[in-house]
Amino acid sequence: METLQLIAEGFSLAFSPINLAFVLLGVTLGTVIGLLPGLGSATGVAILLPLTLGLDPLTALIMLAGLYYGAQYGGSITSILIATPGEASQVMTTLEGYKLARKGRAGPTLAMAAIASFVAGTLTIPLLMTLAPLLGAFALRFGPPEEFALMVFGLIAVAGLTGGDRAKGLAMAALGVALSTVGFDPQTGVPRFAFGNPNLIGGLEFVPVIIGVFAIAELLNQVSVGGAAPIRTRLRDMLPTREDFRVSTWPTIRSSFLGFFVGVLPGAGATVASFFGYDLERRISKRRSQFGTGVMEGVTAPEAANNSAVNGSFVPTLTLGIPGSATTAVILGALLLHGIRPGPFFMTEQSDIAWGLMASFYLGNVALLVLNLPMAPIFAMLLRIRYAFLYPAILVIALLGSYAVANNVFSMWVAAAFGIVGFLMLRNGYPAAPLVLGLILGGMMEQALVRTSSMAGGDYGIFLDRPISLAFFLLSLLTFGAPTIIRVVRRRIRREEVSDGTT
Amino acid sequence: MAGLGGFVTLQSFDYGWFRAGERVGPGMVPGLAGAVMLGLGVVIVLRALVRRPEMAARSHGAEPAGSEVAEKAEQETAEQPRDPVSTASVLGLTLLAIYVTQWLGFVVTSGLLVFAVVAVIEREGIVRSAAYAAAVAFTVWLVFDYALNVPLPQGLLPGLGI
Repeated sequence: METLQLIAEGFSLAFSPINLAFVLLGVTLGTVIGLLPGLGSATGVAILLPLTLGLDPLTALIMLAGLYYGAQYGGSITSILIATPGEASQVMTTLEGYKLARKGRAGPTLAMAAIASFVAGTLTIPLLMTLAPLLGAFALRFGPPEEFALMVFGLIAVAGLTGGDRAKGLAMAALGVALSTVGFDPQTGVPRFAFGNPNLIGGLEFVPVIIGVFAIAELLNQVSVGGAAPIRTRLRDMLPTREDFRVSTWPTIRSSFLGFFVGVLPGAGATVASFFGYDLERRISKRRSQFGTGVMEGVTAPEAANNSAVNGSFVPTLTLGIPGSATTAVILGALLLHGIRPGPFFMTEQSDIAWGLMASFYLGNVALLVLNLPMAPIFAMLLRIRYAFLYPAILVIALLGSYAVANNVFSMWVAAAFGIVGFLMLRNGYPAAPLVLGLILGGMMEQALVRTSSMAGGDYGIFLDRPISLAFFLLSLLTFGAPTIIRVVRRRIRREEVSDGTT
Repeated sequence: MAGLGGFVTLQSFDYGWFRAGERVGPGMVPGLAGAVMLGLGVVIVLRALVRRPEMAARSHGAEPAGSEVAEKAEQETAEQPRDPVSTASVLGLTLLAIYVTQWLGFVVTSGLLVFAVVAVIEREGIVRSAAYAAAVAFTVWLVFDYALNVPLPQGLLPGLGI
């Protein structure tokens, strides 16, 4: 009863005219920032954070929530329209969303992405409100061995993501992990794979790699096949159909809860959640063979998962004061700047701010839908531009996005190099998503492994001694081995049926 | 893939797989990743050698084996007509643009890149290409340099990088 009262108070504080105005402003600015590749939601929030400094703390938080949700959606727009993910958590959206856009379904896809994100937020914000203290305690049991095991599972699960060759997928994941080790080893300071190049000493930024293997590679591919025809769609084709809602409903709901609980786990975050959301739907879908060719649930599932994962990653942020992801780290910084101290007593001693914050998340979510749903067909009209004019602009945006990450021309070389690599991968059936996930998770995996070996004194049996990490390793073995076992069994059954038929 | 994996694994031994007390050294993670790449690279090559006769048989009506989605995608990709000259040209212009950014600055270079691609490779009219390139360059300057204060490469000539 007291909780309901607190929730009501939070909403009444959040829903004032001035707060509504600022959330709309935040969503608009955030969407614009999110449209610019290379910046991403964390950077976007950081860039626009100074705008909130003169505001009342709750108003500032509300604007920040709008900024964040807007930036996320802006990245989804570029993922779907021009195969340029705004950040790692939008890679899966790119896989299916771009294919749908090329089929003339950009408008409905953008709309469904916004709706899926909204539904995920709506379903999981109440979870955040009510389960945060309990989940915070669980998150404490998640140590380095569990983090490492979870990431290994994530990489193996993603290897077969596109329905293609698992060996190639796993090889790409391993390549991504190898690339993540370029630069100084954080433990010993030993430079690895830098070969004397000062630009490589600091390691490879993953944004130029993502821009290269997705945007530039796809662009080169389109040029090589003679360029994509402009997509001319009728107005009514720019709206989602009943079938779009039907195929997206359960994937969105499932991925919302999956993403939230994955987001609670330290080290996981929206990227891993989006991969898991996509993978789950691909495995259980009746039309799994169509995944990779442009299916709506392949967009709504990862969008729901990544949005709800951010809410989940707020659990350790708000209850323990430990950020669960890069974006929550920036928002934690913003909270501290405004004199708000998340931690074990945040929900009790600063309950008005805490519940007002939760309400602000919901407000940002609603504002995103209200502002961007009508804009979806307008964004989709970008694809009416002839490709001869569109792709040079995409190329400039891609190079600029690569540069903007580290203000370094070398990043543009990295993007171009991985554009060539990505183009060759496309031609030879090597999936890009596992490479990206390996690159992003590789550094975190190594840190988790190092911390594990330190805490266990070099005894690697600790992975088997702890039930959660053991469970993830067993799941990894199952995920890796099961398709092969199933194929062998099916082949044997088929052979027996054939021989029974001939005898 | 196998070659790259082998190189990474060999290099990782130089960095050291273990530190004192059997703890993870700087070479372990790249070494493990390299070993996986090497092993899987060999598997992929062997499978391709085995599948060649199967694919030849399939072209004569035999049933497909293995991952149908992957093979169908690869087949479709192989069947599409290709324009290697345009692809190489776009790539070459991109690399040149990155190279000259240090002298001309990003804004001017982006305009020149767009003009070169649209006018020369896509063979749109000179005037139209120039107008479009100028619009793109102006937008880049307005949004990134002026509005967001992102420090774009300015080049060597004052004012040229705008």
